[in-house]
Amino acid sequence: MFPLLMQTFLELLQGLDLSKIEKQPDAANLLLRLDFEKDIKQILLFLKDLGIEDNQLGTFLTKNYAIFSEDLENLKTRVAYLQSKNFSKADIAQMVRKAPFLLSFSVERLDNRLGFFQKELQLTVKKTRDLVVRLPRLLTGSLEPVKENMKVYHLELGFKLNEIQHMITKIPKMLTANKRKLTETFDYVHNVMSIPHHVIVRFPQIFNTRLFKVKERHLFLTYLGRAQYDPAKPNYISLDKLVSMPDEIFCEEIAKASVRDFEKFLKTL
Amino acid sequence: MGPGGLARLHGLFAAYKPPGLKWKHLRDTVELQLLKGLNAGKPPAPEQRVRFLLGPVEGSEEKELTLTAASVPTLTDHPLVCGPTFTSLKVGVGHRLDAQASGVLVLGVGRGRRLLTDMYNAHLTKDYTVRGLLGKATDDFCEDGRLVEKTTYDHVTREKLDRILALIQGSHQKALVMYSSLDLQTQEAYEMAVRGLIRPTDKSPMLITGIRCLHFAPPEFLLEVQCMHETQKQLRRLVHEIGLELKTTALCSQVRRTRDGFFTLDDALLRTQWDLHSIQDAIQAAAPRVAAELEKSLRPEPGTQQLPGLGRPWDSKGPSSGLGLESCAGH
Repeated sequence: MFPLLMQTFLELLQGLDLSKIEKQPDAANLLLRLDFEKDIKQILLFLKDLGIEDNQLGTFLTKNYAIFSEDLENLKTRVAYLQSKNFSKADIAQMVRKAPFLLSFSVERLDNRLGFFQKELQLTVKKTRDLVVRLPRLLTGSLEPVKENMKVYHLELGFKLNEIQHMITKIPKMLTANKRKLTETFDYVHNVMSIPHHVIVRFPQIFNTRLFKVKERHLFLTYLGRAQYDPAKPNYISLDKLVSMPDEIFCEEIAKASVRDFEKFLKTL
Repeated sequence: MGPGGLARLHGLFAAYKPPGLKWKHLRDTVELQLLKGLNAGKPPAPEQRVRFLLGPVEGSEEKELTLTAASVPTLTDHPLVCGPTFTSLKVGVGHRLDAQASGVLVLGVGRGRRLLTDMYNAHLTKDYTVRGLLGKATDDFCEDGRLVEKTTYDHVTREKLDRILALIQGSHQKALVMYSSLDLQTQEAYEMAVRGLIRPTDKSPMLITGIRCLHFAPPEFLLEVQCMHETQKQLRRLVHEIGLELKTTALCSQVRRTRDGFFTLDDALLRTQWDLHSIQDAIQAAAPRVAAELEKSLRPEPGTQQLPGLGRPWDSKGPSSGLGLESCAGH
């Protein structure tokens, strides 16, 4: 690569990882053919107008360096389309930051994707907007895993549509989670820990944690005799407290034991 | 930190493998965590290179451009250009554990991998706690296998179990003597047998040097086994055969390794401790013991002719020191 271009990139854009870009097969050819004045400067100014800060440009371009070969008019049309769907300027900036490939999608494709989520999940327009702003990679990723996961939740795990809607608004990542891990976690939580559906719906974070963590903590609580997950009974332990806390707080407050006891117990499993 | 950190990362340490995790995944996770720790350290200062830059000379009124020499940092070592400094580490695994078993798993990093072969050749014993369940038999001797048979077990008592375990230990003691190619008629061999220092010379099938029942509450029972050259499947088959000897059936619900050579449960690192600093500390803590034990194992024992010295008093280590006497009662 020309040292001048390399140095310009590294100085202007802190955080631009050239080693990652070099691994892509056609990246070097693309970037060498660019002219600084004509292409790069315009697009960089456009991105800054959108609301992406200087220090965030580096990570953005590491993922989507191909944006330099896009037409500036196309990019402006796509942003105008998003604004017409009532996404605020700050929302658009956040979405572009989290999913760098968003602006490389044509308007029809974005339209199709938004329509798909609204139809499939049967959410209101506002809720779909919130969902997409929180997890913009839903728009850039493939739709097949989402369709499969919806079928899994509905048919295999037995959740009703309003329950699925509630869980997804809380934890959007559930739509793109691994199917096998979902079924394994649900199997353990429902059959071994005997937690009914309506309690799981209130705490969907349980699908976002590693299964071994849930297993270890549940077995420790059973050993101590404190495994009470029924909200009606005393000494009730909610599922979010079970999984979201770090080890020290879990041992102190929930299990009422020391971390050393927890470690000794783990070595007996 | 980078070069210094890597220098302290040669040797053996023990990790606690939880049940349900494949040993290969554990090895890969440890490697990733070590690489993360090494790459997070401060990178070395970039190399400087002398380049001739075009610029106006300071302090002069003429507007001429002249070449001045200046030392500039080069970009060839910059991590954002070349990628992270460390991309792979060589981590080896000692005696493997299958997915359902848990316990102490010895890992070797860098130069420590050579010590793994030495440990293998030293033929040290390993301790297991094996939990069995009477009354059922499955095709792979585990709880989640396909059920083959169900029997009653009311006639089983502690004495019957102990008698069978003593029989097993006796037969394995005979096999141990056979595989150690020792002539038991000599005085030295007898003394070694009394102290429990007989070891096999080369590859052999599973040899149990000690087995006893820790806890018996039908249908559950807990055994402690000291053995070598074993696989966890053979231990589960052993539980199945004990069930058959007791005229009932048994399956194995848990196999847990509590000691591998000189690494015990206290030395084993839990999942939360699989990071650079804890592993470096563990390697440093274990290094003197490892060196001492391997030197003792590979040094020729005075007074023996056949064996090149594989002795190590195993009954002074581990919780079951009483078994040292039983090994002679076997024959």
